[in-house]
Amino acid sequence: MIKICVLVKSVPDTASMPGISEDGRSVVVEDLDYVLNPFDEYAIEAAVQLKELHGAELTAVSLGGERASQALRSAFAMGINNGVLVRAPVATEMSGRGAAVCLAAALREMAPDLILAGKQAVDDDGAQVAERIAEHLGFAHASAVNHLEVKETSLTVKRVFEGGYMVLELPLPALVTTEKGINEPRYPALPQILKARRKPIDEFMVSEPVASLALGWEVESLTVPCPERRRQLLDDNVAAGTAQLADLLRQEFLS
Amino acid sequence: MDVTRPLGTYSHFYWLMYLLAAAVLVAFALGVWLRIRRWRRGVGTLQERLHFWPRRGIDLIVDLVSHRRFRRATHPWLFHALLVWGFAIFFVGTLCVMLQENFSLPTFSGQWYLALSLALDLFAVLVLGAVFAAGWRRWIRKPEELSDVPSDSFVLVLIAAVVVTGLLLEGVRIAQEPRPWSLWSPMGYGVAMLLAGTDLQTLLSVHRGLWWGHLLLSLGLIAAIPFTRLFHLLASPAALFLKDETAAKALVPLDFSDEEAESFGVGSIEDFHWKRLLDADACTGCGRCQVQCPAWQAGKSLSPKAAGENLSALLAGHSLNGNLNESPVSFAGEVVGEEALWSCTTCRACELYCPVGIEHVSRFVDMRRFLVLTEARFPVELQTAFRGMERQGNPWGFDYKEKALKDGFPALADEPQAEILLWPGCTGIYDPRCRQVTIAFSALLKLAGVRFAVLGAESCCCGDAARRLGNEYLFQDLALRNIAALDKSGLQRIVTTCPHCLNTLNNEYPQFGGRFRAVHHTTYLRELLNDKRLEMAPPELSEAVFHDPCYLARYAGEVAAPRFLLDTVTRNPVELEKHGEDGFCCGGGGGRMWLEEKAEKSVADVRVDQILNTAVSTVATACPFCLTMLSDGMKRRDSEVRIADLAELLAENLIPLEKGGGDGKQGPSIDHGFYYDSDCKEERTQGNRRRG
Ligand code: SF4
Ligand code: SF4
Repeated sequence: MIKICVLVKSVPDTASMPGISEDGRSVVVEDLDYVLNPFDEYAIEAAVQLKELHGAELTAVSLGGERASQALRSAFAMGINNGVLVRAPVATEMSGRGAAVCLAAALREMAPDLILAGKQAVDDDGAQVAERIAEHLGFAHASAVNHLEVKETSLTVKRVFEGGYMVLELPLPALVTTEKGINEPRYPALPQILKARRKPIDEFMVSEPVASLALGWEVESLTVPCPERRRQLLDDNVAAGTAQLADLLRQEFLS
Repeated sequence: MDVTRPLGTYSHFYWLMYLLAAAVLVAFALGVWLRIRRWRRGVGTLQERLHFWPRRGIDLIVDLVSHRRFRRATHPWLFHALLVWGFAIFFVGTLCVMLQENFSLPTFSGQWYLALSLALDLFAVLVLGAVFAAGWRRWIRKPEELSDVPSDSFVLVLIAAVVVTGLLLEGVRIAQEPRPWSLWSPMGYGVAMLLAGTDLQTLLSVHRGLWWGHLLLSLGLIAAIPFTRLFHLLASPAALFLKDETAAKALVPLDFSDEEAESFGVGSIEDFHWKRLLDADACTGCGRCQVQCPAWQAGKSLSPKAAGENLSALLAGHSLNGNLNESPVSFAGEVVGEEALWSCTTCRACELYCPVGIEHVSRFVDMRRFLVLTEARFPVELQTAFRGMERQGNPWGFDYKEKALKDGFPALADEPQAEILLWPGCTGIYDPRCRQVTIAFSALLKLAGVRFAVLGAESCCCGDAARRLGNEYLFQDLALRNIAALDKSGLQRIVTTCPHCLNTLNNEYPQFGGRFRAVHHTTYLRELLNDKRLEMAPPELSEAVFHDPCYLARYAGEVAAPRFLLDTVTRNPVELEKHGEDGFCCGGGGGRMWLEEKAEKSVADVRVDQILNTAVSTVATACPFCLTMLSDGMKRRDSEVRIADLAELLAENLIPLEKGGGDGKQGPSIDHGFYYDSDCKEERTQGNRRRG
């Protein structure tokens, strides 16, 4: 039976507005509400659908602590059987590079045939951890995939881009990140949600040297984007108003 | 000579009569037992429905005697009343005969006998008239909503036959042996006149034949009760007696303490409460519910009547598979059809008009619960709403921390002396159009010098939509959050601009320990006007109507306050044809607000057309859902008719638009910039925001 690992992450709900710490260098995360990264839901749904279609052993993998295990529980509720919480040796903030090192260490041991992940996490929108992992493990990989089909020893994926699409055939083992629209992630049924709460989670301690995980940069300053709103009232005569609007748009594009 | 009639003519045959009666009783008891047995497949105990039983008994008797539940609708009801009253008299007559014959009591003699004879004859005629009317309806007029199975006609014919044989029997008896008082049985007397001249021997044998015929027909009628539509004779009064008046207002909470549970809600007959099964058998197929159902009127497939009948058929062991074209057919699919199930707006029109008090709404919610909680099978657009409520406490998924005070509604912390807590509901905060109502209402409060506060970020959506959409788990989560916040606020008096919140706060939160007293803003505004805390300018509007929100009129019974307010803003208040308790739904309740309209015609379209037929320029309402659904409906009809909340109309009448700038003359100054917040329109977000 094919073995699939799904990488999941808890991210702040994009609806909530983060605050900035007093020193202006970090985001105050304490009062943010965390949810499963929306793109990961597509990866989970894809994995669960593969299981329903061909049978598969599914494991969700997340890096971090308490919050990360919440992401695993959300994955359980959607139909993933097992969960591995990857614990880094230090509780420092990690770059995509560091996260990839830790996760790759765990995944190397688990030796899946296929790794699925959301195309990016909507917290820092780094969009690189999955691809780095593929490189570490020497897996073939495809990003932002809209369609996925698994065969005996290979995988066909479709990537849609503006004006066309591309079909790729990847040998297994492989890593694929999912794009919105690949499926409609299920709303978990309540019995699954309740059971997910008490499902055991395995842990994996990373033994990588701390130095290799360091961030490698420092944040100078952070600011909240402040979209400037301009109010422009147009003539309420449709013809005149439309002409005005066209002018405005023209100026906007030319400037 | 004793004033009575000969009794016990055939007493030598009584052994046979008693034998037959015993057989009928056995059949009757068996039939009833089979029905009760099938109700017992459901969950719950009888005790749950017996509290206040003396009250229930009195209500039932009043219902039966007065037929008040029948009279709500324009449906014909008199023929049914005549049948009920008539058979009640027949029963009394038979009982009197028995008492006199077997116990020598004077129950069938003297003046009482004369009066009884007259009443029996008169009611015999009335019952025959009623059968004629019923037959006319059933066989000639054939109204679409009336269920008609062959045994229904059989029962009608049987009733007529019992009455006709009774009258003939009486006539033959009088012909044999006329008495001075025979005229007190005018029908029998008439028959006797027709028989004048027939020889005694013939009369004797005809009498014997008729006596047996009448006896057998009567026994047959009794035996038919448990096996035909006549069963409603027992089940309908039982349904009325065991009714839960609050079934729709305070839905029964689910218990989530068992984390190993595999199923929630109703996914099979066995999951239903026994009363829902009894209800299914108590339905008479009269179709009043269907006629009144706004979804049905909009041409959707939902028929509350069909739901009950299908359930009853399933109970009887008939399979309905495939009837409702869904694959795979779920239990809800079999009972109503899933699409129909999602069309219910929980408006309660069906419940109000059902003469036997069937609890339709909770039956539908029971099945929605199973689809949502156990199967996670529901229209896909609900995901966004559920997620939004789960994460941000509102169905749009807007950031709840930001929501609170940006319109300048005073927070509790800033207004420690607040006398009331203003509860705008999430629609009154997030929906730009509905927020204008909140703003108008708070302007009125300020003007009246009422100190008030809002809860802001600690509170969330009341959960009405989640609960009625079947997501009980989510509802309980929201309810607990709000109850904690409300308890903390320490404010006892809540005023809400949303009738749905009103119902949830008053009727549903007590299930979770929240004891609050909420009033609707129309009720509160009337109070302010009566107390002269608010003074109105003379009414300005030309003709205007009030559209009754279902959750205000039918759930909370408030129809007077909005009309009181309407009178203060218009010189010419008009009524729509369907108004008050009899109002017609806007289509937004029961979570329909969050469902996409897939049908060609929506409930709102039907209501809007009704309004347009009334030719008014202003429609007042008092519910954010009504406001939204009707405004959208009017737009679809390209109509200029204005839909506004009463609070807005009142505010306009108090604060002339041209004035601008607070002059501080009346009570605390009104910040006009605050009231006419032009940002509202600008921030309008179209449709549901999607994730990702
Ligand atoms: S509650 Fe209203 S919409 Fe639902 S079935 Fe009854 S009448 Fe129809
Ligand atoms: S549910 Fe009530 S109103 Fe509807 S058909 Fe049955 S008895 Fe009549």
